[in-house]
Amino acid sequence: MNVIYVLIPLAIVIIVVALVLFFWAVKKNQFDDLDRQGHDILFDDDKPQDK
Amino acid sequence: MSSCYHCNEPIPLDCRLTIQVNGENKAVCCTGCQAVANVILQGGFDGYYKYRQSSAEKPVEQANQPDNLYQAFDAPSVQEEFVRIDPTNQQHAADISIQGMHCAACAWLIEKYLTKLDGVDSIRVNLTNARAELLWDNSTIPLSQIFNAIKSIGYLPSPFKISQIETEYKNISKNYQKQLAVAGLFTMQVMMLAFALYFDVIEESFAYFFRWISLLLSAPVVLYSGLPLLTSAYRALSKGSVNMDVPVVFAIYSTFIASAYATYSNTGEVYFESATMFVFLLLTSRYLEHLVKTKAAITSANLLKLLPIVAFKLDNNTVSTVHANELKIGDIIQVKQGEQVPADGKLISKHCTVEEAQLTGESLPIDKNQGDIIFAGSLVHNQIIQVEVESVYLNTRLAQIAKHQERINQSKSPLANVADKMAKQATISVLFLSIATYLGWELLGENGLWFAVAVLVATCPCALSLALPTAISAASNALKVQGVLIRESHALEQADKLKVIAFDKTGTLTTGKFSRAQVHCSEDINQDELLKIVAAAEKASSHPLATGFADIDSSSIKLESVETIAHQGLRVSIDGVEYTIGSRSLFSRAERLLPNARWQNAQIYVFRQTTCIGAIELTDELKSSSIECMQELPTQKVILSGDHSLLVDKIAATLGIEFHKGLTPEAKRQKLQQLQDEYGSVAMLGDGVNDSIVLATADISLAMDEGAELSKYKADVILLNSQPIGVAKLVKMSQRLNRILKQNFVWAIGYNALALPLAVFGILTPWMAVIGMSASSLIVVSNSMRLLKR
Repeated sequence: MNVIYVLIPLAIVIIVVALVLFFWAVKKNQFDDLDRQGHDILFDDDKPQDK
Repeated sequence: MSSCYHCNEPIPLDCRLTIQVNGENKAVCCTGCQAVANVILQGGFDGYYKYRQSSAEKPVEQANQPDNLYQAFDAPSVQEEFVRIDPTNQQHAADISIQGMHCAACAWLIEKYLTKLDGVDSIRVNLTNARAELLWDNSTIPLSQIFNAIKSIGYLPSPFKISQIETEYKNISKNYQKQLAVAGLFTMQVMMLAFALYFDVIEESFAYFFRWISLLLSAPVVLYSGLPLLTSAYRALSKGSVNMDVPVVFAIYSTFIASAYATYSNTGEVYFESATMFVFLLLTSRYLEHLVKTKAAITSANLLKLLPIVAFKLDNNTVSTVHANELKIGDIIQVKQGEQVPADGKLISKHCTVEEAQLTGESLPIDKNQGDIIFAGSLVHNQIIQVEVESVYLNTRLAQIAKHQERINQSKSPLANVADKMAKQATISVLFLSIATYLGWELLGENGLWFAVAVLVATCPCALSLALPTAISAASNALKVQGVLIRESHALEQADKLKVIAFDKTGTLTTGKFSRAQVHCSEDINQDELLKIVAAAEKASSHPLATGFADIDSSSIKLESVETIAHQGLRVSIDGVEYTIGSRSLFSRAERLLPNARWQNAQIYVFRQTTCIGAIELTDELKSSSIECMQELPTQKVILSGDHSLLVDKIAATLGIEFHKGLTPEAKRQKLQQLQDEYGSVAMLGDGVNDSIVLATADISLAMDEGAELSKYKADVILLNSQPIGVAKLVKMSQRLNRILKQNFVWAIGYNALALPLAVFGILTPWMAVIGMSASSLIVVSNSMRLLKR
């Protein structure tokens, strides 16, 4: 059971990493428009288009 | 009847327009739709039609708008206000608001179409706010071309400056998101550890370690995520009052400190998970509430641009469109009824009525006489006026006021106010009760702290405070999808108590597009000439009937003067002869003769000096959802129309409802008040400038999105697709909302009432209280979310 002394701190580290990522996402305005992004996959170009 | 490929509106019978889609011909309803659809299809964006969730808005007829509409936005002096220029690479950036966006497909279309243009570096469309952030290279493409491109695919762009309040709201949102993430993730960990501690699934030797880890994990939740609660409680206390957050903060921090002490001294019990879960749940409800508030703020900001940017300058009887910024002192500008005055100035016209609500907050119209000062931002009520400019743009009174205070309507619904008051009284009694519980248990020789905390948690009106905002935001989101935009939430709460619903006719129940059914004229004038005179005069008017003459070329006629007779018509002079054009009420002026009996049904009468020389009958069609709307509404329905003709009778008969016709705006208001006295709550649907007074009087006002700015400015609810069926949807949703609210309140109050005695007598421990409270909140939230379903 002593492995718990490693696993719990490890879990905390992972959470801190997740939070840092989330804070970064908030800072980059990723959560500004939640109505739209879910639909974006529909609009991916089916065939390669020339711009 | 088939419907238009682009906007889904029914196609007029005599329309033969088509477009090519994948080799097939599809019908469209007008040249506007045809042009837009062609641009979209030729650009290779047919995906838009495949994936859109709602039909497009009918584009504005190209002919009705001048080509150089956006030219004014290219001037550096104009751009100074809303464009940011990157000093290193001269890249321009601006925020613009886009009208007519309804679903993700629209946002996609705009982004794809614009990034194909040379010189547009990037565009990010935000569907939630109906805004876009644009980056472009001004030396390659002027802004007006970008705007024209947006217009060519059927949307209306306008420059926009994000207000201070919005930026502030956005920062608060971001903070909430971060605090929620911290609270959520750490609470999960703490709860996991707490589970092990409570149920003794771990060996004794680990318990000490688990407690310290719990302390470590809950510290950021309580100290960082709990900040909004702490500051709000502190603010209330420092003002010598209490709010809901005071007992909450007491509960959280006493639990945390006592648990921390227990950990440190390795005695007694710890309740870290109760404290963190409490913070998380409360924060969730605060965030939801904040979202509702932000949404309301953004909607009203999009609707109301503070100053009209474009002005109509008058030079030797020709009207030119310029930016308000380019006006100079001494210039003469023309402002139509229902529009805002773009600059401060002296009134040249003899007389007019304006509303200075934006400046004074007083919504009653004020009479102004020749020589009086008209302030920028005033809404012109009943006339086309001419104003000599005295101060321009940033020097106007309105801009000065705006600089000092950027304010926002924070109207609270009556229900929310009652809830607030109740919560305040409850809060004080809860604080006393928990102190009493603490003392009681201490006297009995027990540690009273946990019982007092259990009381604080059990009585926390968390579910209660979630009940209203979640239900309202779910209901207004569901309605928005159906094309009904709620601006004031009281409309949503009270629509089910409506007794009478009053409708304007033209533009509300009917399409408001008039066509001439019959033209009568006396012997001394021929029909063409008569029509030309009327068309020339109506060009200067924004009255709905004027649309019936848009197709007549009247360039050969020069108007020498135009004057509006309030609510009755227009007086113009042509080659020194005075013509009066207007409604039947003109006959009441003593000098006029009654018309020929066979002209009874006309809407427009034309007088040369004092003799009636002609009359014109116009017809308009019912909107597609009008009949269905009448069938679905359970309340009394009545038409209040300014039209006096038999058209009203005919439409009322088709719809099977009561009507009052030939009402002036003032008479409409009186009629509505009569209805209010007689039956109770009355709603009004209107679209025109002439409805603005009656809309302000109604208990709930609904305006058409296509209607005049003035009517939208007043309305509680805006029907985005301009179909009257929206009011039936509103009533139905309101009934559902009130049912859900009642369930929520009964549940939340019932839970608190039940949990309180249990907590006082120590049966309910803090962790049970927290789980009970969270379950109760979850039940309330999921109950509210049922409103999202159709």
